[in-house]
Amino acid sequence: MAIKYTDVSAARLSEVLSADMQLALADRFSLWGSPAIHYAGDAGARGSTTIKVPIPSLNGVNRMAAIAENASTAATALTLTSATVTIARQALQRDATDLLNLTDSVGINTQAFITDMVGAAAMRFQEMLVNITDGFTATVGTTTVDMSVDDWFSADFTLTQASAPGAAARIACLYPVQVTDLRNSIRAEAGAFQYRTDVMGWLEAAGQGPQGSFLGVPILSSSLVPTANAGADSAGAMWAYGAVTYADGTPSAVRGAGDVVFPAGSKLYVELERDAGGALTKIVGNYFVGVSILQQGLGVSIITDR
Amino acid sequence: MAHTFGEAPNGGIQPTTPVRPAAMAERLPHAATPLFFLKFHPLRWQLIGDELLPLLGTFRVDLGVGGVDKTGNTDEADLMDSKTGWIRIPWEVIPDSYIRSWPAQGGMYNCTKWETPQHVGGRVLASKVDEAGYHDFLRMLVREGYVPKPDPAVIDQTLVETQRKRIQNLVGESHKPGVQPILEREEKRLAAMERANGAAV
Repeated sequence: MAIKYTDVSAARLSEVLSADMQLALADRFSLWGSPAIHYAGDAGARGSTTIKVPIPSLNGVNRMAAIAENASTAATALTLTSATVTIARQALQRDATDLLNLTDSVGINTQAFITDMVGAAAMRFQEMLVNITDGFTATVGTTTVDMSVDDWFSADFTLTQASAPGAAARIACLYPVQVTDLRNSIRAEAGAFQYRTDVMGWLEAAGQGPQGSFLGVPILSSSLVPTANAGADSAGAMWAYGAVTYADGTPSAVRGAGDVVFPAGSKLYVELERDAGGALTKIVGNYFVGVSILQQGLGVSIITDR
Repeated sequence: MAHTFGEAPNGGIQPTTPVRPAAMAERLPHAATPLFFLKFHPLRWQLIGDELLPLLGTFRVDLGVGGVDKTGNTDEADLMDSKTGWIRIPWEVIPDSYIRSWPAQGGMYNCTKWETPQHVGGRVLASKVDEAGYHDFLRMLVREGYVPKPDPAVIDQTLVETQRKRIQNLVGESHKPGVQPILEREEKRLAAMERANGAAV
């Protein structure tokens, strides 16, 4: 007589956990640490939460002028503007019970929550960044009309006419729909202008954000790009290095306090606090950061159909 | 204890409507967004139909963004905005305010009154937008003087110049299939822009 599965139900489980977890589908791309963004410095131990970046008119802004022999020169004043960036605390807390930890078999535990703080900080940085780049005073695009190659050219012209550095110093961050609309438009193009997705095997090497490049400018996709025109449009942007700046701050660990983890290569810190009565561990990630526009002329907002 | 039949059921105890605990509150699946103000810049205009209307920006009261400090104080942000020519539009320019707050994940989803958030099965969709209502609001801002009228010289050097270049590009591509209708559309748009700019004088 056959011994069936149901005959040994006391020795079997209704379900077991797969050893392979699948992360929930979400946009995890961030320009955190990108060289396309100016870094104003660390505010740690400097006396203020605000860092001012001087923008002097030097290095050729004031040209020499012809002057007659034996005539005297007059002094030319220096034009000096500045931009400021103010840091503020960004945080995320998780409370993990001991029961959660002791029953874990796949890696959803305190250690995972600590590691997760790096992604949480990176995505918060991305959110702050795109909430700045929608505010360039130069704009291109047409409300409720799909993004096209023409909008891309308009953005390119706007930056070039403002004397912004060329394609190698530029970057474009667009809403995913803007990227696909642009791709559709590029399909109709031929000749010298080609959409390149093969640059250094970029698509294979990178994650969700990089979508290729067009006319030498990298195209990055972010679902965090905000809306414009009361939600009818997306406000992506193209900018050159120096358009946007960010600052951060790194506090020192307090002696005798709870355990503190400083993930390597990042400015955030994760603090652990035990609640013995509740048999749980609080995991608090902190990141002090601020993002601001540095020079308006170096960026252009691309406002097209959402 | 004796019980007398014929009295009110349950001894007169009346039911009440339960109050939904916070954990059960109905919320949009949207992520929370910060409070914001709309803002105007003299360089940002757009052609809608046959008229020039302001292309507003958004000032978010978001700690660490654009000069908003650790307490939510906006003094530094105000200074930076005013130095670069932005004019903030107060909520009270219309009686019921232009901002709406919806309960969402991790706080409130703040958007304009012309936007209705949409979702199906937990998936966030693009919002429904009352475009006509929003355009009326933009017209009101210009009509009532909350934002200055467009400067024709500025429009000529920004919107019109960009549109001319767009057409020059398309002319060069007009031998390709499908480009001719786009070219005609963009030429009409340029003509409308120039008319609107002339009318703004």
